[in-house]
Amino acid sequence: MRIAWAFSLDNWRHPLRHSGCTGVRFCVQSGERWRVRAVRAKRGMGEEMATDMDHQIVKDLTAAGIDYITSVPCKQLAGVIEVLDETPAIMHMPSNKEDEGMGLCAGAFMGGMKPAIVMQNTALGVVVNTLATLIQFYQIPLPMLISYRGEVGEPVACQVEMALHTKAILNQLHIPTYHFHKPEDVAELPGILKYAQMASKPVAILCDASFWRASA
Amino acid sequence: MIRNDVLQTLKPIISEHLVVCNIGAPSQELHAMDDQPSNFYMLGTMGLASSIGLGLAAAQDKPVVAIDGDGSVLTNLGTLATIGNNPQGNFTLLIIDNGSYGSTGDQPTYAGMKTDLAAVARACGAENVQTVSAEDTAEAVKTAIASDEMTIIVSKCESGNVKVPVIRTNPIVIRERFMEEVRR
Repeated sequence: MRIAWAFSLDNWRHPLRHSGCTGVRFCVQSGERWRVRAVRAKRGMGEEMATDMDHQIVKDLTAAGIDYITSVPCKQLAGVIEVLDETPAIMHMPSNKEDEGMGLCAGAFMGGMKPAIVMQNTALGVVVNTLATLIQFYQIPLPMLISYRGEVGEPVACQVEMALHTKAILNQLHIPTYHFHKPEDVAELPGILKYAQMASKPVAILCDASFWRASA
Repeated sequence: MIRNDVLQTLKPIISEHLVVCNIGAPSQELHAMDDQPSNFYMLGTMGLASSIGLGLAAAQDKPVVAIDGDGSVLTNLGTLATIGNNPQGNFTLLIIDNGSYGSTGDQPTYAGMKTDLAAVARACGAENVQTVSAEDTAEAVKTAIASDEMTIIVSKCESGNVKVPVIRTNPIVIRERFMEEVRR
């Protein structure tokens, strides 16, 4: 079991506020870390399940200066989310819904951080308005790491329904979209992250079942 | 007192601080009475003022006041759980609760009926939640800004709007000048 994430704050540039803990991190004064660890253990999150690919993705995110991430979980993203929680250079603040998450990201961006969101493709059905009227309207750079459920290898029929609309929605919104199908596609990630900042736009990185399976 | 009256009393208190203001009438009224580069006006996207405020407060140290409405918080009720679990000492969430969707014709909200947003916020884990009258709001916000503790204030006021123009400022201008204030 890895516990390093709870203690290694060497590079943590955001002072923890003494009124409580910041998300999955801990507050020194309140001893909040113990409660957070307990919550993780209860969720069965104590076991390491992250793959080398999950680590590589988070490494690329931090190398690109991404220091604030919100997430809504997906099975395919569980490993990435686990690594995020272990990464002191990233403030990980889970959200309940992706439009809320994009609001958090917009605020973090205006506060001087570089945000990204980790989400499932079905959530594109939730965030169309937020993408158009907040992220695009105010020109906020926002990499979206998206699990692409409903593609070949998908066990759940219902996931196919939103998979059919995924690229159409992104295309309709004129969002630059990249599709990771094979493990080697991840080599594009640093360039995509740089591109999002340069363009001040949301960009979508769709990672399908074949990508995750071959990366396991 | 209606929302605009409450904003008038807040003017000297929030004018110098970073303010994230809810879409529609609240932003328009604040813009008309006291346009400041330190105000971030929501021109679209209902319900996200509190989320933007929390992200902003987490990212930097200056005090942040998010002015939200009861209808908007109901639209994004999950925000209270995120706020409750990620308390930021420099964050004040002011929910102007007039029991109605003010920008769309004053239709009643559930907050004006059985739903108690302060109780929801407490149940979501927020530790410092106050329900105040419209008259006492300014003092409560002043205290909250000065305090190191995150505060959620539910300000009970009457339903109603004043006639003010829509905000025509370019969104990038709003964002850029706001970020300049953040960096200042």
